[in-house]
Formats: sequence, structure tokens, C-alpha cells
Amino acid sequence: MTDYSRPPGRIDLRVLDEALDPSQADRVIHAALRRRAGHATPWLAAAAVLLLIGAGALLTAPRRAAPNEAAGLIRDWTVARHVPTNGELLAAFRGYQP
Amino acid sequence: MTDSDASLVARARQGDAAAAEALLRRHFRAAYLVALGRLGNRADAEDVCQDAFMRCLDRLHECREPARFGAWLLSIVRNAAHNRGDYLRIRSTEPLELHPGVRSPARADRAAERNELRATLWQALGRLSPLQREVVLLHDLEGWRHAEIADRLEVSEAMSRRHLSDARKQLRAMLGDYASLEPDHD
Repeated sequence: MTDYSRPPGRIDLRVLDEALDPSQADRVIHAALRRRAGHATPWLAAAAVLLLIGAGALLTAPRRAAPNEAAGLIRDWTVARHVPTNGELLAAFRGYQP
Repeated sequence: MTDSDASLVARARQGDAAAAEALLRRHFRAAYLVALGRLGNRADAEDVCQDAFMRCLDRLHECREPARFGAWLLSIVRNAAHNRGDYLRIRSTEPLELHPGVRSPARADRAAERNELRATLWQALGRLSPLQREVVLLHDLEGWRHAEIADRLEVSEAMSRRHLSDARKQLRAMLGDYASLEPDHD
């Protein structure tokens, strides 16, 4: 039976280290962080546009409308980075009459 | 004092970019060597690390044991490398092999010797199984102990020892005189 607790002597692999690019970690990590930031941007932009539309609608709406509920929803969506569906938009603005 | 993985994970979850970067930097070499072990190509290993790091940050809230962040990250890297390997095999009919990279012109005998040795080592490593490569790179290049390898790669310590032993035997058989031996640390 093979005794794996006493493996053959260690092999010197240090020559492989010389080939590793010292700037490699910076390159890979910064690229990952940049890409991740880039992913978040469209969501934030979409949320910002929704917020502006919502805020514009509320500001120009007559006082008889009851927009508080819709404003709350838009705020929640923005915080959660949620892009609402058409159905959710219709439901949120139901009964809203500018 | 160095921050623990758990504390860096907690800060990164709250949006601390410096903590996220520190975590990735701490585990970069192991992640890269695991990807390299799986794929055998440095450019692909870098791409896989980049994808895996992004995925890891996106799913940081899913890391159930922040103190074992390293093991969790390596599992993401291995999955990503596995998927990438499948994709590369579909694209290419050539066998996956470790490439020595661009060889520099032999400006000096010493440099030429080192390049040749490196190329020979990459080729020999390319003939090992992915898990053997991961174990031998982490143990003999990174200096990890079997307990650490077992924990991070989710294999038993006995299996880690077995893979190291088999890998060294095969490397020694392939490398012949190139195999420079050193005393073991565990």
C-alpha cells in the first residue's frame, strides 16, 4: 500500500513565480471592481429617470390627486434598485388624475 | 493589525470598496493558481478570476461563513474555471495544455536556461489532472499545508496528500534532471 504521508521530495517551482506579472493582481482586481461598478450604473440611471419622472408628475399634479402612495413606491423602487414593470407602474398610478 | 476576512466581508457588504479590494488582493494568488491549474492558460486564468471576483462581490450577501471567505471564493473560481474549460473545449479540438507563454530571446545563457526550465515545468504540469495541479501549485509554490488545501478545495487532507504525492511522482518522472528537490514542510 502506498504511504501518502511521506510524499516524494518537494519540487522547486519557484521559477514559475518569476513569470508571474507583479501588476497582474492590480489589473484583475481593478478590472473586476470597474466592471461591477459599470453593472450598477444602468440600474441607478434607470432608477434616477424614474424618480425624475415621478417627481415631475407629482410637482405638476393638482393637489386633489393623492400621489403620496406612488411617491413612496418610487422611493422604495429606487432604494432597492428595482425597475418596475408596466403593470407595477399602472398599479402605482391607478386613480391618479393630473 | 491585519483585518480578518470576516471583518472585511462585513465592511464590503456595507459598500466599503477598500475592504472589497483588500479581500480580493489577499486571496488573489490562490485564486489565480487554482484557475491556472484548471485551465492551463494564463490569459484564461486572468479572465476567469476577473469574472469570479465580480460574481463574488455581487453575491457577497450569500457568503454564509465570512470567516471562510477564501474557501467560498475558491469554489466560485473553480466553478467559473470549469465552465470556461467546457466552453474552450467546445471551441477548440486541440487538447488543453499549459502554455509557457512568449519565450524571451536568449539574451543570456542564464535567462535562456530559466525560460527553458519554466517552459518544461509548464508542459509537465499540463499533463497532471486539474486537481493535482491545484494541489501541487498551492503546496509547493504557495507553501500551503494540507489542512489549508483540504479546507479551501473541499477535499480531505488524505486526498490532498495523495494528489501531491502522485503529482510529484509524475512530475519527477517527466522532468528528470530538472526536478530540483527540497525538504518538505509537512
